[in-house]
Amino acid sequence: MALCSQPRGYGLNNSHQGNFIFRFLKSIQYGGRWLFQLAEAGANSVFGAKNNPMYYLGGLAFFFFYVLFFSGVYVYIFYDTEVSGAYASIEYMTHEQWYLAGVMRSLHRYASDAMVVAMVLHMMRRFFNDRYNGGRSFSWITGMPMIWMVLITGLLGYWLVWDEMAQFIAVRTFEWIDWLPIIAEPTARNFLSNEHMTDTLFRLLVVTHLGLPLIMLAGMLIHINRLHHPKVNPPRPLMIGMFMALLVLSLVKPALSHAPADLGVAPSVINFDWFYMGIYALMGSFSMGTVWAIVVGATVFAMLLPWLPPKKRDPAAVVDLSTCSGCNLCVLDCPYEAIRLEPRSDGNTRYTQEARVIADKCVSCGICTGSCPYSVPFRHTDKLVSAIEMPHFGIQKLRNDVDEAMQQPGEQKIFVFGCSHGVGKHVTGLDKPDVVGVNVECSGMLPPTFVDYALRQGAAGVVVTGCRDGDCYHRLGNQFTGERLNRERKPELSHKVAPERVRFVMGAEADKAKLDEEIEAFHSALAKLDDGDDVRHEKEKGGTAA
Amino acid sequence: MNTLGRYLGQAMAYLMFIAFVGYFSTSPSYVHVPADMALIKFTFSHAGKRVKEFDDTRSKEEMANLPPQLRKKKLSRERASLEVEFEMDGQMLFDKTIAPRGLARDLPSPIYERFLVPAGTHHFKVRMRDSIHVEGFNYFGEKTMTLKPLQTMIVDFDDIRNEFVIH
Repeated sequence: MALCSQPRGYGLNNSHQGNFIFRFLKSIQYGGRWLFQLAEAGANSVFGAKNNPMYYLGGLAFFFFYVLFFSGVYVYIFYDTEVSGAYASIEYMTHEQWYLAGVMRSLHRYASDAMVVAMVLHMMRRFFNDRYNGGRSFSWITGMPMIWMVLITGLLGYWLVWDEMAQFIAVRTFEWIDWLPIIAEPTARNFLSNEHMTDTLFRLLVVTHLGLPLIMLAGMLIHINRLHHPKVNPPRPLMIGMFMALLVLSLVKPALSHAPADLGVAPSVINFDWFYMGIYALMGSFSMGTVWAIVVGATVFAMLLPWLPPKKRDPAAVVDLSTCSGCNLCVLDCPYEAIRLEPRSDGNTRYTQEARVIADKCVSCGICTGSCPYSVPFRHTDKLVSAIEMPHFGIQKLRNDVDEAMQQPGEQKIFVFGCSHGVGKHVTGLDKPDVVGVNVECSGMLPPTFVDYALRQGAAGVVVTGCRDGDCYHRLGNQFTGERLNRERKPELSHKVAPERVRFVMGAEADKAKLDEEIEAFHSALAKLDDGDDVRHEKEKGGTAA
Repeated sequence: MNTLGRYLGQAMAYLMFIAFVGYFSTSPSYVHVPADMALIKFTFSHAGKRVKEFDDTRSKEEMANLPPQLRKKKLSRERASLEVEFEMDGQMLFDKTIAPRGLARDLPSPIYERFLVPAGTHHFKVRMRDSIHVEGFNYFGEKTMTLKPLQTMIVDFDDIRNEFVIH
């Protein structure tokens, strides 16, 4: 199989591939990505791509936050904010009004646990799929404080029960804080006896537990600030399913308290909530200084990840003002809100606005090129330029690549435009006769006119590949490509192109067999099509003229 | 996969999820203090005596040349470290020198230590020196306690009465 442009790998310049850190991170990512793709394939088969929970981990964290909010409001109605009455009020909810307040308490606990699971998986998935650097580093970094806020809020919630576990959390937390040399008086001394625990301190904790989620909500909104169409709400069937699952768990295994706190007696056996309390197990095994080093080190390392190893990114998209009409299509399609319209700066009086790229937000996905009506290969110019395109991979290069690939011998050629992240990575390894192809950064980068162009150059059919349905590396590329090929979104596929000659295949890196099957089936379908009648797209011999 | 199979698969996925959440929300248990042990918190915060009375290096002649209102000597701020020993049944549990906090070493010296000991009757002794101008220790405390399992015993220092409190 011919290959004209190599997969460029995550939109990054790979000149640093010899770097040890690069290779180390890449090998971890490869292994993790393989596991996630396996789990996602399983989830796809039962949930379908539209409701696959693995594709909505961030949205599920939002959903669990809502469950926490409403269950928390109900629990707070019955909660006694005095230290002497807190435990009894929760016992009342758990045992007397178990059917509602007790269930709400359990929902509150399990939703908080589920939120941690969703957040951690969300973060891991971003890392393994290499979706955390460049323009995405903003979301990555703003997500880090969220993790700590969730953990602190959850631990404060456990504290408010004021049982043995609350006592353990309170004392151990302050013993940990006291390790810092800036503390003159050990704060853990506030918990030497029951008399030390005052209502004032307790109410302060209540207020903090209520206030932190509000700050967290603001942080969550900042976290998604740079995303176009963020998936903050999972599909309704998924929300219903998750809520019912948590409800069943709340009924089957209601949340219970330990014995009431007594600072004169040391807690012995604690039923840890490991989603929040793993750090206390570390305190039992290592010195407090070591635990500080682990926590701070892990946080700093995670924060620095977008810059490890030093990477040279592909350049941001550039606008050619001689052709840009300010039509707004690229602005609407940019998944990262990296393009905006501004008043004309070139004195052109025909159009009032022009596209302007915000380089910091651009991840070089090229979706803007796919959305631009000027991305047309059927033009006679010295240098083919779109109104907005990638400096390193413009439509001139794409047309050259297509021309070169079409020089390969073969009768009934299938031309594959493969995205560089999903199954399209295997465009280099298909090794099939009569199959030629090129890689583009994202399927959304492909202007539909190039499908027409490949057919006019002699291809019997065109396959466009994207990532798995619902899991586009560049978020919206799959959706836009599908809509353009179905003529539901501008710029749409030419009506002169027979739909039977175009296929859009979505799959992950692990789905090579699926791509092979699709191409085989497509070959057969095209053969029947050509044998049956003469509807084959008319090959315009002699080049690029429209 | 047919519709029934998909629904069964979803039910299994939800079941696995809540089993995972439900299990790790309370298990496995963590043993903080073994049931046959007692906990001793050896903790207090005490400011040592000043290392020296004054911090002034000016000579008598220099002082005499100053206006009367500026002739006061600067008090020294630095505190002495605490030397502390704590033993149980003749066995030393704690023997450390605790430096004062603060950039100028002018804040109290904090101590917060935890010891797990077998429940039962034990004899405790505690000694402390808080001045560089005395030989040996200048504070002592001693008590025999019968500790129940999981009981928390506190060894504190009362800064008003200047004595150790063991309770």
